[in-house]
Amino acid sequence: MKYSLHFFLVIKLAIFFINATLWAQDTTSKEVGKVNGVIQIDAQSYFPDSTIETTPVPEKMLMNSFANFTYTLGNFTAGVRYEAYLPRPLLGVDPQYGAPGGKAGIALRWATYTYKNFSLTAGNFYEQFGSGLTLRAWWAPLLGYDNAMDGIRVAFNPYRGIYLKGVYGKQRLFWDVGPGTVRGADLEVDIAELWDTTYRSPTRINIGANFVSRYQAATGKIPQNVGAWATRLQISRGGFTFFAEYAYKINDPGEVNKQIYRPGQALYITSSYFGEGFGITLSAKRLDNMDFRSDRTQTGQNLQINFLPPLAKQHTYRLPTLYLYATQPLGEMGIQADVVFNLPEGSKLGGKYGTNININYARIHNIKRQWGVEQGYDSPFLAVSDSLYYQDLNIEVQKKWAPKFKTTFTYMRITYNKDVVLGLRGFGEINLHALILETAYKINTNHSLRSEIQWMPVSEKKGTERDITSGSWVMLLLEYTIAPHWFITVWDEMNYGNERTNKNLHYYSGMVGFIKDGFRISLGYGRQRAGINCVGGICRPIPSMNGFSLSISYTF
Amino acid sequence: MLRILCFCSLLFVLFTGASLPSTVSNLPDVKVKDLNGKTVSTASFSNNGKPIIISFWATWCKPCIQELMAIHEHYADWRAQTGVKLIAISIDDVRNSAKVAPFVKGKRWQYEVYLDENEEFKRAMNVANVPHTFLLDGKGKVVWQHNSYLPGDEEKLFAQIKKIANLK
Repeated sequence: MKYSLHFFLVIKLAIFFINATLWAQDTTSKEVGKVNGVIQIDAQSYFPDSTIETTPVPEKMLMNSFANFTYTLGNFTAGVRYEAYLPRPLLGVDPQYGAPGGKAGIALRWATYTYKNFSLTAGNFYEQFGSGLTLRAWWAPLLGYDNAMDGIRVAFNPYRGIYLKGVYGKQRLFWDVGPGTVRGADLEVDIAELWDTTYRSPTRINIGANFVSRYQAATGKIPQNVGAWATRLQISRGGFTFFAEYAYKINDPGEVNKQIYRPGQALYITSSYFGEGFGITLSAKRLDNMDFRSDRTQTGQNLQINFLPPLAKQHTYRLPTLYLYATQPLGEMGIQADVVFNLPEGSKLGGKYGTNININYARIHNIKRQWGVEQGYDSPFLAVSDSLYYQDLNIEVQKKWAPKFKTTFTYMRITYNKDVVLGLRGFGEINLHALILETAYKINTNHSLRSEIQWMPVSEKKGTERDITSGSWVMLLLEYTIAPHWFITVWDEMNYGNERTNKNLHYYSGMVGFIKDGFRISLGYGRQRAGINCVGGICRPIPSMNGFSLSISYTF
Repeated sequence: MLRILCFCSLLFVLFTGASLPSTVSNLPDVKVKDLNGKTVSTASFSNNGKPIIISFWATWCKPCIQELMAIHEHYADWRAQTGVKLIAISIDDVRNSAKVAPFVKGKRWQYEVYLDENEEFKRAMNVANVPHTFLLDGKGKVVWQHNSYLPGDEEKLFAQIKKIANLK
């Protein structure tokens, strides 16, 4: 009862805020400034369902929500973020956001003053230096990730083409901040802009460099101040672009790297070329001992200072998201190639309405290490280990057959090292194919029907471990939409050939949603299969569930 | 559960009754990058007094691509009739941002595209999830917005564009 009361109070508060904002809209004028914001509420009820091995939830219902309010007056902006996790966060999100008994309150607050080429923020802020190898503070609310900084941020553009940024603060750790202090500065020089005031130079060269330092008290020979620096270069001319960034971090023994004294290194190179109707991107990456946190004793997704994304395509079709890859910050080497092209309409291969094709390949290995040296291990800069972490070959063909009918066909071939990516033992290497056919039929101006047929045969080695999501999968989805307001979706994911459950398990679900302007609400009911939520090199398990789900977002 | 349903119906009454006025006006001033790496201030977005569409999207977001493909089919026509310009803000992070330019050219899109790698502009515009589309009038004031994309939404958007183009 106590929990439901909390929940109800939060909703009342949200309505109060909405009303307050509507009222603010009426009184908006230049003198009093204006209020904007966004509210998001996600709630889920949990019914016990032993067939799909659900986790018991005695509270019956959980909710995550946030509301951002921004006030702007001329050059001045201030904001707060209210967050509520009642009586604790949704399963799959770190329970520490809820503390015992649930948690709700003002999580972030900030004020920014911008004048001409100068901007100053006090309070909470987000920032990224270069590609993030040394520093990225960011927020992914649906994944429960937030490493916002709390302190001071300055951005200054002293001369055309010269961009300076500085940050000084602590990082968010759930409802508190971490013990370490993070300080950093970044410089970017846009040479074309610096030399050519008309910006018409066909060649653009950007160079950048940054330095980030973390202070955390320590004893003995453990460094208290850990410095990391990075330097980057981008050259582009016509359809050609080259980007490279190299980062180095001094020795930083911590929980994640098992207290070794080896320095860290990272290199990220990407190059792309495009012409009309054609594009190609080639990338390569090497990481060696690059886990960087503002608290050396932390693990998981907590207090990460830098950002190391996986070099592989981000799949969004439901079935293959069961095997998402997450970067291994302690060491990996990967390559990726991505080709996009359009066969024009009216051509022999393109057909009457044209065809879009995307081919993507990625392969990621561990780095080669020689253990037993004083720093922990030795690894020559380009040495690759035979241990395969992830491989993905996929092709997508999008074709319009008639004014009202189009299809997307996707094929994937993935090899996935489940033990390494999920930190498990005994599952070994998983091999899978995925075949997906998506069709879209426009009935008339507002009514449309969309369907997805997904088939994912999975092969696991004999004698390895099995869990509730092992085995192969088939999925069927139907969606009927009425623009601009309504959608209704039903789907069923079926698990078969799983040696653990030994039967076909159906995960059927339905959802209905309504959209108007900046407002969206959806209500769903059904079974949801277990999955993973991967961010910052760590995947958190999302258990199976059965129940109602409610999601609301509103931008004002 | 009952409370949730009550709450839903309450919200329905709140939001379906009247058309909501949009209050975001004169864009926030944050930095994004164009596809050549040049830093651009979002407050400088302009279209010589003609309407602007700002569409938040990502290379991994299927409905976003569906929306931009649907508009692509009519874009030349829309431009000729109303002078409207579409600014596509990609929120792809470093994982995919290098693929954005080849992706856009590979699909022959004629939009003005910017990278918002750390979602600074997305947060400043209070966007919860992509796709999210804003329509700005000739003075740079947001006059209409829409969350998500359902096939056919582009017709509603064009009706709005025509409305503000004629009002001038």
